[in-house]
Amino acid sequence: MTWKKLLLLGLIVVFTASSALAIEGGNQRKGKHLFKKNCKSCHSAGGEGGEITPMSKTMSQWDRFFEKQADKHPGDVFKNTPEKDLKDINQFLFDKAADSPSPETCG
Amino acid sequence: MKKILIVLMTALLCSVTAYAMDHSEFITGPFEDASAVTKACLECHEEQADSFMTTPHWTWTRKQSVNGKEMELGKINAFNNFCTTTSSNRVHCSECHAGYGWADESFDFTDKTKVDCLVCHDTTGTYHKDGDNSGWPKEHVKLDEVAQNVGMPVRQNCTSCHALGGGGNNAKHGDIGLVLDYPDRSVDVHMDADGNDFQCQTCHVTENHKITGANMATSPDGYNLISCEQCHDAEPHSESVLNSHTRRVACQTCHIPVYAKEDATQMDWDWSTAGREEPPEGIDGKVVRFKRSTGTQTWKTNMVPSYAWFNGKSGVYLMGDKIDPSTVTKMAYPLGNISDKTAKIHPFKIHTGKQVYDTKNLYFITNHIYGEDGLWTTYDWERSVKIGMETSKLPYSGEFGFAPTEMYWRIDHMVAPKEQALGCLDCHGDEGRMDWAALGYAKNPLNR
Repeated sequence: MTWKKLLLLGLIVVFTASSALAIEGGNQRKGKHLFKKNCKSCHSAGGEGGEITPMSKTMSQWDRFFEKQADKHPGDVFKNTPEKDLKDINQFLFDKAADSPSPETCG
Repeated sequence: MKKILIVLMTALLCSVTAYAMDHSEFITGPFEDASAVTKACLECHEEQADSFMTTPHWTWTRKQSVNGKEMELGKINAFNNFCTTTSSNRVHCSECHAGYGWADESFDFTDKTKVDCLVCHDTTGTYHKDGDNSGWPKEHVKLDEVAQNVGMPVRQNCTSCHALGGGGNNAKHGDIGLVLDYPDRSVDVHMDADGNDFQCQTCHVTENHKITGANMATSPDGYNLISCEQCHDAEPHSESVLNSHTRRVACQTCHIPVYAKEDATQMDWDWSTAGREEPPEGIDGKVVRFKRSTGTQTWKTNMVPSYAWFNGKSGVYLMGDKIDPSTVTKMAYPLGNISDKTAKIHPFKIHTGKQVYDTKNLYFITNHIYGEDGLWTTYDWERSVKIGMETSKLPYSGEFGFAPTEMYWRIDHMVAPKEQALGCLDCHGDEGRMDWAALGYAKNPLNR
């Protein structure tokens, strides 16, 4: 197998894996509301957490954040937010991410 | 106050009972298609389908008095200032029909299995209909999950159509945008998601799927009109001078000082530039936008309403009505004037436009916009106009032009916190927002 074929195979595996991971089934319109309510208090311009908008990450970065890095988030906000709400927020950020078809700066 | 309490208690009671019913015990799936979900609903809810199928959400028409004549009118044959008519564009327009498969005149309005229960009763927020397949849901929708999670409608169900009609978020109404899904108090005191959290049906009282409320374009007779007095007294203020206003001034006039909060609304649609390869002058991509398919559109936020007398009834332009292309034709407009004691000064959005018309027969054209032979695909006016007129069976002379139009939209939502309501000088001051002469006053009525 040539290196080109290997690369192609690798890309296919990565692509398939990343699409399988993509968040679905969350209510993105509710997620927008929850993001504003729960996250923007610290994550606005000048806020202590620094400004974050859906465009701060790519779709897969958002999914990875909610899946793997959320535990490292300071404070108890992730622990105190119901799982369903987190899914809705994740869906909103994913759907409006920097590389999504309809990126959003608001929130 | 008592009335408010009763409404709140009823809403609370309804919400508890509605959300408590867990359908996942009865509904299993998988479902072959959305109509199979409806069949499952019908096993227990056949009567509900019967009552629903008598409503304009299904029929898109209602017998009523229009411009002094008894006739059938609804989205099925109304003429608006956006995409004109639904007649030849059903595959697209049916995205907002609460049914499945209305592509053309062969649609069976007696077939219960084609009722779309989910568009109003989905509580997951994941049910989406498609704009290109006659009202069937998008392929990615997980029908079993949605069907297992049905419940009473919330604002998001209603806004899925009522905020998105006319080509985008808040395009038509101006006071109904997706911001109403979860608004804060500054956007609407009643719907404030962290406060009163009124759902649409708190005011639009609903029984057997018959929803109250009257849109000017499709219910010009004002049938089932709702009012603030369902909850508030006719003299709700502690100041008598304010209470004396309520005889001739609608509550909305002072309590909705601006509309199109957060979500921009479309203020003008100039179809005459559609089809051009190069955009016309003055396009900035934000306020004034151009697309080859749709022409030039103007979108604005935080708009001060226009004011006119309104007695709850309206006049409309009907298919085939003659026009004078040198003047502005009103597609929908409020009835009432200063001497009509049933009329009050009411806020409106006035959407302006340029619409295609038959230059010899002197009436507006039912244009064919959607599909592979429609204007949005071909950019060919001659062809799309011809197909549209053949479908609506309106005689076409073979020559078309563009004429100015305007359409009034009543402003009823986005009620501001009372501290933001208009004060005396907002209307009666030197720079007040009322055009007293246009309303029929000899002078500012403060200076009698």
